[in-house]
Amino acid sequence: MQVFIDSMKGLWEKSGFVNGTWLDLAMLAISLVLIYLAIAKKYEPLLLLPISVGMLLTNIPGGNMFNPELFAGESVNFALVLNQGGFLDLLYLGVKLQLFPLLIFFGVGCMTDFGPLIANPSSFLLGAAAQAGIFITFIGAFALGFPGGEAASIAMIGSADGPTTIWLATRLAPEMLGSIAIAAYSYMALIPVIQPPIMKLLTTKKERVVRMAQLRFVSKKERIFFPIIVTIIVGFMIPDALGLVGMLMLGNLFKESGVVDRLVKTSQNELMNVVIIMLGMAVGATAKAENFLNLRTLMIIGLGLAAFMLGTACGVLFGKLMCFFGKKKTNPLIGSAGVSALPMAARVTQKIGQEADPNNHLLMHAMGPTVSAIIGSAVAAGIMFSLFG
Amino acid sequence: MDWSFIFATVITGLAVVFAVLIFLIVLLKIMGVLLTAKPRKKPAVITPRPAPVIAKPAPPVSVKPKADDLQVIAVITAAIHAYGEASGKKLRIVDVKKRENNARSIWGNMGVIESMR
Repeated sequence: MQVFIDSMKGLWEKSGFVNGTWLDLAMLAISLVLIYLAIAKKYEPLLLLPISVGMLLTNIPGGNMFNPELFAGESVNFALVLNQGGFLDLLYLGVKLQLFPLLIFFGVGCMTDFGPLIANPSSFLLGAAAQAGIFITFIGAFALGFPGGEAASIAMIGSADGPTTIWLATRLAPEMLGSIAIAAYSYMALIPVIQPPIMKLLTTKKERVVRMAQLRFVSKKERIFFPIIVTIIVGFMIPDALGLVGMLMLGNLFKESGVVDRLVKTSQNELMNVVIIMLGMAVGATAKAENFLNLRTLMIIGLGLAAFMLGTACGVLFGKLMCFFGKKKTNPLIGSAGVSALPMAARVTQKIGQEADPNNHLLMHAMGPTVSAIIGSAVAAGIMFSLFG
Repeated sequence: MDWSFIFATVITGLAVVFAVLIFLIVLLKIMGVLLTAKPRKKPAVITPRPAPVIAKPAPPVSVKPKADDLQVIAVITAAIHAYGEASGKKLRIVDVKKRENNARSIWGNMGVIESMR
């Protein structure tokens, strides 16, 4: 009988009921809210659901699924992680070693059609202009007291590019990774709410009805040369961005070559799905109470929203410049697609354009700035890393 | 870390992003010109021809007259009316315009590109 009582006592002392704090409960409540948003409201469910489940698992007291102290310091003791780490520690190795963000970029490359960008290379300017949101937010984050690396990681939320944001945050501000990733994906889901008022505010009805010339046909040769050229040029100019851009372009070369269909299908589906599950759970696991429940998280959420709005505004304003000074007709609305939330930003542009003129189709024109922004944000991340890494 | 470094970061970052992407624009435009240029016709080499052999005159070939545009429009109009009656919609052709070039719409082009892959 005494043995039974001792066993029960031991179990009780180990249980979450004894070891849990109100902070753990608050984190569990937040993770449940995120699960609700992912399932009921369909806010980027493919990523928000694994992230919120990772968050739930890591905050159950006594579970030891994730131990951030194993990853503290400059270098990781891999033997220690393998011997003492929990399941989420092992998954986090993929984030820490840059494996998952780069594999996601590879899959994105396999799914992206760069044809509209090749047909209208000027779209690159809009993709570049929208990156101004990142740099302006960087100033704001620094003003609020974040050191350079953390400010850069927070500002990268404005790129509207999850893997790039995670890639930079893992390297410059790993303890803030959970908050940054959750803010980034939440705002990406809210693009249809955030962007339209800014787009309407900054453009006139006359500008919104501008019809753009039809895009030219892009040959297979151009599609094959494009990823090779971009990889070499970006690799030479910003070596720190080579990982992201190189994997994106390698995936696109696979797609456009037409000779590795099996690999492309695997990358687009099975590989992407597996990596998304592991990446999402690992990122969610970093959102522990001590890192998440503080004023800094609220500031990150505020700054992330500012970054998104500024990126959209800068894109639209540059679109107005192109509309006014450019030789070709440019509808300024496509500037808003310069944030690289593929394909949501382009869809929003199409919707707002059609509200002004139901027969105006801007979707393909907006795809140019959107896909150029993927390259632009990777370049911006490379610059930030080279300055603060 | 001071404010001058932060502003220098912002200016450097924006300048480099624009420089890289503008460089890519230039390269893409060059690539577009090179890869979409039509091959030049080789200059005709004048070679002495053998004496022409007189062949039998070919039988006359009947050339079909080019279809009358108005007839084509009438046929398309009739087809649209027939479709309208069948689907219960009142369709009316307001204007008929000849396109300057023979280009497809964006959606048409995308459809062709997708189906050609």
